[in-house]
Amino acid sequence: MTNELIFKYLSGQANNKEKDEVRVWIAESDARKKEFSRIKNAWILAGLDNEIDPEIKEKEIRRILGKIHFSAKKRSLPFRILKYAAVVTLIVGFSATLGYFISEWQIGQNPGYTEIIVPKGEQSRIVLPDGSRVLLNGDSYLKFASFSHSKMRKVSFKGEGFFQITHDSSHPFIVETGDFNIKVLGTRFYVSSYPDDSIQTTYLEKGKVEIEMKEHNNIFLKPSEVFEYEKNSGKFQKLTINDTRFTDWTKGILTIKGKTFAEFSKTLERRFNIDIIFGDSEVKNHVYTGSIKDEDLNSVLEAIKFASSINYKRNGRTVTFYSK
Amino acid sequence: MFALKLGDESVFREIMEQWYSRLFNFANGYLNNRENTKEIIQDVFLQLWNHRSRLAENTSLNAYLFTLTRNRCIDRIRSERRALQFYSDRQEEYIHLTENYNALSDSILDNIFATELQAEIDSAIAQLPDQCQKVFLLSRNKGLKNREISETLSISEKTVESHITKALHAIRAALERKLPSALILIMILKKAIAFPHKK
Repeated sequence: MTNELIFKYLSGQANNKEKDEVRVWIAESDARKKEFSRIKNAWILAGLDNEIDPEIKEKEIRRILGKIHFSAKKRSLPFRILKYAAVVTLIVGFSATLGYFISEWQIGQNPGYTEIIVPKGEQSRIVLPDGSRVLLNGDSYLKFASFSHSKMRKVSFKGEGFFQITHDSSHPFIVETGDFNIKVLGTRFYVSSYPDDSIQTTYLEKGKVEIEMKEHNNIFLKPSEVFEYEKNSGKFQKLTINDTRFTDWTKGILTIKGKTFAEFSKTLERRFNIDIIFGDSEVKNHVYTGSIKDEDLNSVLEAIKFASSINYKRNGRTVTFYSK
Repeated sequence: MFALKLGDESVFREIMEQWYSRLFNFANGYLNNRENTKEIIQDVFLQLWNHRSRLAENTSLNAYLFTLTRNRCIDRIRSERRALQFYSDRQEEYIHLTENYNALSDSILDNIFATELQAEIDSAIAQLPDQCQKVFLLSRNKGLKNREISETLSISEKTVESHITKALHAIRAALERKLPSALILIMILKKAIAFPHKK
């Protein structure tokens, strides 16, 4: 039995003899049934974005909307309340679509700002009015006004995020971090700009960005280049990094390269909404390099303990680390 | 969830615009019947609308919609199978339904919609070698048969078949990476974090 034959069967291209061969093979054991199911699922999931006839889609959507009109509908009061708010502040949990719908819907109602606050321990994916996407990590903040009324697409940003900006050469996209601006045309990049960090990092994955600073010439970044800015001294440098350490978190992976525990404890605090206390000063200086899936706090804590001579005690949201 | 709860119909329409195709392709993959699929997707969206005020604040819309769709497909297939099992001339259909039922019940689909599934798949496809990717996309997105692909690209059918198989394996591996299983975690624990040195 070859994989090629299975695929032929899956896609309806097998003749009768081949069909029988595959079916006999599948029937042989539960493991085989499962194997076949896995391949079938991969096939279907890989085709989720296939286009369907736009006319059919439109017809069906209208049909569904028609059905909801038969149900009683109340006038939505909250509509009016928001009209008078200059700023709409949202605290988001893990919701892929929240930001997009709020901005399109609410901005139409009132020409104010939209603020998005992502608490520690949460992550949120926002789609901006122009279709650009931002994945925000814990303890982050994004603010933007309506895009349609101005020549520029501007957002204020604090925290950690991965930006995928739609290309529009007539409307530059600007990220204001407070210390410097990042100007983009169409690209993917990562920004780390927490107020309580001494270093701010901008990493460009694809495209081109321009860093605008008050007292220096602008700096251009090419893909894989990193702009590091030290807040206290105003010093900065440009480096090239050829791995995925700045974007692994967007895939649910925590990657650390040569960082001391003190340095990456903040990342843990923001990711899981915990407070970390160091039981002794030695424990702070352990250096780590590695990647781990960051699905839940316990796995990560156990991984740290397993990899080093460190132990921990957990008391609700507080975790204390100490040398064994 | 916040916007939807306030009952705005235009938000609901946007949600359907965003999700219709993907839910449709998902359901049709298992049901293999466009009319049944349309019915099910309609039910799913109506359910979303009717229950919108009861949804928890932090619900993942993606997980919610796909889970609803998946469950309804399972129910539908179950009743279709029951209807078909005694028809000797529709056994071919029956066999396909059984396979789809098994695939739909596979635990790999349990958590997969709560996570960033599509990015994983897209990235797996993007990382395929050029020819492999081209062949796979012609097959999956354009629906070309192996023979048509081999003619279009002037390569043998066998080559087409092996490219597609390679692609499927890569995608499946990407999906299985998302499975939060103890086994995978242990493997990662053992390999990933290097031993630290004291400063």
